[in-house]
Amino acid sequence: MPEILSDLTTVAVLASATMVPITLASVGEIVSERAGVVNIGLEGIMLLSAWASVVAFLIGGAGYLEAYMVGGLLGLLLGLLHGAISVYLKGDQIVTGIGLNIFAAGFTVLGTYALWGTFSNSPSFQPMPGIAVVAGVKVSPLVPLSIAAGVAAWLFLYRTVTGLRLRACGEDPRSAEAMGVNVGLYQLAAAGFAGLMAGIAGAYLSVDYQGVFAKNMTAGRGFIALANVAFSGWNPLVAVAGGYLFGLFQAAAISLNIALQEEAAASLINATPYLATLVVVVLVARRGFRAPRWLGRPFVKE
Amino acid sequence: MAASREAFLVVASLAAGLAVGGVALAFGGANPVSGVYVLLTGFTYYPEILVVSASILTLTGLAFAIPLRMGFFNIGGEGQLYAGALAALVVALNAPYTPLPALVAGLAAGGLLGVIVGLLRVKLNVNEVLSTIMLNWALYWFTSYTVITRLSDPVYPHLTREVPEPARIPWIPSSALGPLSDFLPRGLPTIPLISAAVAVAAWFFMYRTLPGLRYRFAGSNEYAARSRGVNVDLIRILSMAAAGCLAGLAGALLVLGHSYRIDTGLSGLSGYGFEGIGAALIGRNHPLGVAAASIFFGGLYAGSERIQVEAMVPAELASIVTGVIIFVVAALSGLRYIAPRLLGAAREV
Repeated sequence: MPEILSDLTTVAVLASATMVPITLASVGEIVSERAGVVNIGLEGIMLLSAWASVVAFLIGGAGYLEAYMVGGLLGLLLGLLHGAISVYLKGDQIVTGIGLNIFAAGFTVLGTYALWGTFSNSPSFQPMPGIAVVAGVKVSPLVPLSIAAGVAAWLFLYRTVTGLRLRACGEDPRSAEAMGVNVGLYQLAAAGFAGLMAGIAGAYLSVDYQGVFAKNMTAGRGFIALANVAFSGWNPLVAVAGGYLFGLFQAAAISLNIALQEEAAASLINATPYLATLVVVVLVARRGFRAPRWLGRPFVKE
Repeated sequence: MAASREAFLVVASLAAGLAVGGVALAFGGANPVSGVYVLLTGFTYYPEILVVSASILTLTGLAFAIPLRMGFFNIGGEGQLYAGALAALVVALNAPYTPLPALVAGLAAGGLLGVIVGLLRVKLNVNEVLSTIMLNWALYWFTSYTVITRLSDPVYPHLTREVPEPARIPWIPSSALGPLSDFLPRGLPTIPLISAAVAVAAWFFMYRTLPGLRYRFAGSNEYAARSRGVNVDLIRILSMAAAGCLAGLAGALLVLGHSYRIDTGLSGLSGYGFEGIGAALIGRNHPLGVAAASIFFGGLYAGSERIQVEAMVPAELASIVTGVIIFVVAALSGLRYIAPRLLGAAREV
């Protein structure tokens, strides 16, 4: 019995680590979608940032913090690029994201080969050391920070005038514009924020969580974050809880695989977090959350 | 219609894709100019890759283009293709007499997934981008699991057993190919003929039949179609079913007509579903356009294999070029809003 309890504790602690990238990316994407810009390229941004921060760390001689900054900065730039295409060129937001994902999958493999001569992964290194929280359990500082980010985003969206204006851009940009809000600027900034958060999430995966860059290491987390955005009803506080739930699915799969040590079973267990995510989304869909009214549509001024 | 704008979109995105490909080549330590040349002409070394990839991309491209008209983003071509390949292989190994039952099984498996995605969207309002991505990953691991546990070859454990001879789709022998026989010493796979027939049939249905007209009508103006008594929800589900069937067929054709096996990492199957999206966008969602674009991307695939040999740059270069092409198509797709008169485009809202 105590053994089961300690196993459960292990899974719960591991889930606090697996929740971070999903939560960070979800919080950023909620702010962006509240402003009306959807970015399904989160996965690609995460992957590119995960790669870039490892390059900064292993080749650029950066410390952990600088590696994080490189990942975040790249994410910010990609988010702004996506935002500019969506806002000023009125481009198709979904298709841009698809292009970004395919590009990232190819580029990171080519970049890994160019720098380290293998197709699959960078040399591994000591991941960023954690900080002690309760009872000597060490976690990454990004665990409390990702929760704080969710709370801060909620306060911003629902307790500030700027947040209200941002939400107006996603609901009814025409009225927002009539009230004197610069819709384009708000949407651009929100899209940049989503990119920044996805970039930090990517840096977390490689520099902090695993200590290596591996081909396609994001493994659908960007898309799970998008699922979490819908699950949360576009509410950053619920998204933190959702991030933990989806993290728990992954942590359970990882722990089961370690316990079973069997390649065949591992494949089947690996499938479960994705199916569980789908089931949760189906269950939530019945609750009928409404997306921001103007989500994903280009706003063309008269 | 603004044909000149469409042409500009295609040319500009292809040029941007190749330009970034050149930069990536330089980054990989190769000469960008001769590298892009090899990328475009390398297919002469691998005509089989060109022919097979072009055929498969035509089908996965249609699997994206057809539901897109109904407002569906079918990102699930990957998973639907895996399901089709797996179902076809299972049937071919258990009933190794003719390829037909295996083909039907592949088609049905993909179609079933399409119906699930369509129903989830229409009945429960589950976003299809999410459901298809989650199904892609679930099917990747499920296929891998089945390959390891049920189908593996005793001699090569990372591969499945081979499709027996009678269940394979026959090839056209080299001797029957006339002047092409030098390029294709092993003969020509029959896959391109099937896939070309499907593309032509899709075109004929959409542009030359009454149900096809109704389909395009329902996609272009949902409310008008509803008020005329067209069952838009049913058409939506059917469009996803058709898409699933096409991607499933693609998977079945790969296994029955080309690879005859699946490997545990699914390396022979993965990528076609996503890259088909590029073919659909460059082909402007027109069945014959999709087929033409697929030939271009098939050439890119073959050329990228050649690049790997000649310049030691990974074949993933093809993904970089494809990704940029899709990105630029998307970026320029809003031209009609911001510069309605540019390139002779009429104002449309």
